[in-house]
Amino acid sequence: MYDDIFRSLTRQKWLPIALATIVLGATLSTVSPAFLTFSNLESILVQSSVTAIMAIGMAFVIMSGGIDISVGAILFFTSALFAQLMMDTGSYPLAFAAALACSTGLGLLNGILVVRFGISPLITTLATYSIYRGAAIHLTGAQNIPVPREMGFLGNGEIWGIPVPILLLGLIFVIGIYALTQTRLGVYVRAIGNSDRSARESGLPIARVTIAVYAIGGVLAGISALILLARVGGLQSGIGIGIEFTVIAAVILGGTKLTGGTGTVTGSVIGAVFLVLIDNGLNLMNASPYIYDIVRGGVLLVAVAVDRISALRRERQLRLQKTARLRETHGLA
Amino acid sequence: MKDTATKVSPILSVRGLSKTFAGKPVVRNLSFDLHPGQVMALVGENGAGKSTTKNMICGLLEPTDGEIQLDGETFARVDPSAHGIAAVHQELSLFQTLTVAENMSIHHLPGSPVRVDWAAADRIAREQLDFLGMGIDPQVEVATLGAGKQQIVEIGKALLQANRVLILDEPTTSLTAIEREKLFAILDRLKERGLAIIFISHFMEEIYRVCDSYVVLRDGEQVGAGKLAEASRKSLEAMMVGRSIGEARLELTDPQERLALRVEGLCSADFHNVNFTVAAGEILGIAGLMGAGRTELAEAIFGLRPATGKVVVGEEEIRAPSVAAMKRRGACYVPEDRRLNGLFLNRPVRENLSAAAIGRFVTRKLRSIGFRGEVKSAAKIVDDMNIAVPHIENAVGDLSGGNQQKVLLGRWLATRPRLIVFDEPTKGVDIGAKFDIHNTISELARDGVGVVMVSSDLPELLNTAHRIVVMRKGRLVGQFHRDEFDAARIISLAASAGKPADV
Amino acid sequence: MLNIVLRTLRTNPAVPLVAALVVVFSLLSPFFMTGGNIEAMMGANAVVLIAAVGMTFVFLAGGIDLSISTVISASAVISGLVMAGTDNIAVGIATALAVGAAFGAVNGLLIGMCGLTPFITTMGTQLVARGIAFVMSQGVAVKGTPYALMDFGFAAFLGIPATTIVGLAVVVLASLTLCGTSWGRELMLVGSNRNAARYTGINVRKMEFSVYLVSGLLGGLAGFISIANLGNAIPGVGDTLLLMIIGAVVLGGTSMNGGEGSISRTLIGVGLLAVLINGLNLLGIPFYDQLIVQGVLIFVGTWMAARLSRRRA
Repeated sequence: MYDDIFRSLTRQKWLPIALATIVLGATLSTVSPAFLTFSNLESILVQSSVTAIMAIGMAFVIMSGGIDISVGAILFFTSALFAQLMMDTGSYPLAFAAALACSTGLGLLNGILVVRFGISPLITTLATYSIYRGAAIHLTGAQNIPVPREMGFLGNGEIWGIPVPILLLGLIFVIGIYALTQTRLGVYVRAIGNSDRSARESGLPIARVTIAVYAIGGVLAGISALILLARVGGLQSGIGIGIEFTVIAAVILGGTKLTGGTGTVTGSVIGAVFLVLIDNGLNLMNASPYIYDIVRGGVLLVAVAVDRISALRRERQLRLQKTARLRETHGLA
Repeated sequence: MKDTATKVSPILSVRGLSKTFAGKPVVRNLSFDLHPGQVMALVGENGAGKSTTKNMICGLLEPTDGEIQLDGETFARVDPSAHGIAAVHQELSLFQTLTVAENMSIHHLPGSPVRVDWAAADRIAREQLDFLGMGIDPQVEVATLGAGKQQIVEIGKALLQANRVLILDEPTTSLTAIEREKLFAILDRLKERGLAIIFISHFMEEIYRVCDSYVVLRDGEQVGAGKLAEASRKSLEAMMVGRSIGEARLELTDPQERLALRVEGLCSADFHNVNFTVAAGEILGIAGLMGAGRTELAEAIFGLRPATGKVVVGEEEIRAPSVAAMKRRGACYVPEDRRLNGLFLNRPVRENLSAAAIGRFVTRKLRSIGFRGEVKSAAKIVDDMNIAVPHIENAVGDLSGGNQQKVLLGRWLATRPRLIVFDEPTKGVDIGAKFDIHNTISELARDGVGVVMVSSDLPELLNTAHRIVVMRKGRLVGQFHRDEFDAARIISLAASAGKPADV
Repeated sequence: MLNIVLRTLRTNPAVPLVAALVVVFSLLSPFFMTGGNIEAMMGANAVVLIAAVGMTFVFLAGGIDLSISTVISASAVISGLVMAGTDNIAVGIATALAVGAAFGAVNGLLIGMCGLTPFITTMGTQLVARGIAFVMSQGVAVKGTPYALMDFGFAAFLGIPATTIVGLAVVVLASLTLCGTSWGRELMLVGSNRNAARYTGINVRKMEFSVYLVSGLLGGLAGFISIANLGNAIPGVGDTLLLMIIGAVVLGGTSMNGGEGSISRTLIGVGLLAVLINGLNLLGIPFYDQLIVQGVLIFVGTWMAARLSRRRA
């Protein structure tokens, strides 16, 4: 029984990042007694909710063999649309519906462009990044727009004593895991990301699945936009700039491969939390805010290096196995 | 098969099946019947048309002529899943990052799109694997399984779709002896279940072990068919090789005393303790089946794969072999897969021709930056090698297979090598280009170049080589000199399961 | 001659686009074709041009260098600090190049020698370079640029700004290196088919190392030029340039898949974006609408370039 649990646990791709997070957390708690308080842990989760939710979407995109640079711009566009609509109409249902529909639509557009025009996802979403960002500022006339105070509920409110962003993250986390492991879409995403050739030969719906993952990335960026908007109290011009790299970093740290075909929702969320923990720790040490980038970059480099080393080790192991087979075939000792 | 009066009617009958690619017939007038519980061997040399036949039967290709009848009904093109036909191709189609269960049921995931019934998928996979007698956990990722187990998973996956006809293409090349025996036991059980199996293989022992009947193809034509019990192994091999035995051979000059290459005790994951020598002016053929380790051997000599052992070029031992180090000693390797490992497809012919020796054209003076004489040299190679290309600035990807191969050859010949290793030098090349290439090779030998030629095309080796060594499952198992070439013996040595003899 | 013109037009969609834009803008705005405007337009894009040349090398070799944008910032800041202390331009140039080379060498070691993925690796060094730029400058522009350098930034010969002349010199030099040296040739071959390059005896790892080194060096030079252009070393100078740099390269028709493209195409790509942004500015189009136009142009241009090269193949 315990053996089984242990075995299935060691098989999880998110194990390394989970261990790293625990080690980092333990270190921080020895440095500062304030760290291991319930409210601090809660606030860390709230802080990571936006990137964590987006990381779940990005995990799907990367698993399918793609990449989405435009998520930050989708986040910004959705925030702008929501704030503008609230200011103009004051209607929550309208603003919410429009925001969610729009973010899904922008994601869909990414997917359709990728499928239809066959240009690399990187360039495609780099172009739409520019378009969405420009369109958002166009929409609001480059103004900062506050959102009504009730919106704060989404960012700081609580239901049953649990902060709403954490609830939303939890809900999306569960749905994400479910979609990846229990639905056809989840299997197809990984299959397509693993081998385009085999997927074509097996007659999998490549175009539909590709469009779907970008749409998922879009809608999750939209939901994140609403939480972020609520937390900062209104639309600001810098919202979402550079967040795509943080999100991709969270996914990669979580154990998902950029080459596609395999990945984990859990790891992506833990990756996002890990990045916030680093910020938290640097904050505790009163480090200059400018150092954050250096540490994040360094962490990313260490992560890819560790991944590469383990891949090389696996390769060596396979070669040894093959040698053993060859000897077995010829009855050599 | 014509007169086999079986009570059961055939599942599959093929009448006058033909396939033409770009006006060139690949399969001509093929006819046979396949009954439930029957295992038919489809044999022939490489390029005889087995793959094309397989692809027509499993619906990947549409026949140019002839008909395929399933349960007495005629179809122009087969819908494999509707008719319970499935094939296990040589190139595995598994998704490496998916689990065994996911792979096996990817075509028909049980449950609904929003709720896949993984318990059912697991059960199906487990039942199938149990039936196949393999203790494979359906939950593990395919990438973690060895080649043999992956093969079994692939067969299990195919069987989920195939309840009538199963086609196996060289299923044992990556299996150990024990795994092979397991596979045969599985085939026996499938036979009892009433499945019809088409078994494509080079290994005669295996064919006699599992098959009931046979069809022999040679150059796309059906040269023999019948019950295996009535055909001797010798006669089968004679049918496969056919006319090529008595074919006219190239005139070769005698090799020199001097050695061009000596390989001693070379070992790696793909071959074991390989020893051979090639003299200057000698053409050494390396025969063997696919997966015997020949390409790996050639690549290891050039440092493209890790290996231990001794490689001596001329008089000098190469401590750390690499393509560049070998190039400096006048040795070069012309790889098998020219699109993957040989050519720069989107670059012009000129650049492809000078790629191995670009340094020759660099002038060190600043005022003449550029590659002096490159154009002239490229034009000369194009001329000498008889390469059909509108202009040397055309991308190599636009050329035909034969001309691409000549470009690759020309690139290396321009380095004036003293030793050259060819891997399948005429694969996918038309007759005219093949002739040109053979002549080029024999001229090289005449000029004192040592030549190693890895080829699956036995007539080609018989035609061009001074000497042939046979490789089987990573070991050299026999050697023949030109005056004792015997196609049937070479084939049986390459394909037998017996103990390797010392060379 | 006519043949060459026609072939350029057919294989390079950016050329007629530039021509069309120039015509349209000069019709719409009387200022467009004035010497002052042309000078300003060129000066404003010298940094992007130099960095785009570096990115072109990387793309041609089949890689990507996301760090080049913030390497510009880091080298500008460090070189600015050194020059503020020494008032010596030569030391400033050397510092900028050394910083760029250091980042390039790290990228090259990790990608070329250790085989890490270019995308993630350069994303990491991008963050590190950005952090260093901000830490060293404490987030504010580094003052104390030597006056001679500022003069250089304002200088122009025959209506061409001195910084642009440096950029054009880089283009010429890079073009000669790419087309006329075995390094350039082998770089193209590695990008065209990495496997085949290995089987041909080209040292692929060394090649990849050197291409990131060159890209880092050019990032350093671009950082230095940015000081001359702006008068100060700005820690955030490179942050927004990545889109422009990648956009210019792919717009010119250099493929991200490697082995297809040239330095001159990148020059055209930079020219296209320069003309576009300048013209839209003159017409009073706000920056956010320019972003939209830029995005559409990058997408459509890349698509056309891909289609054309596919048709030729």
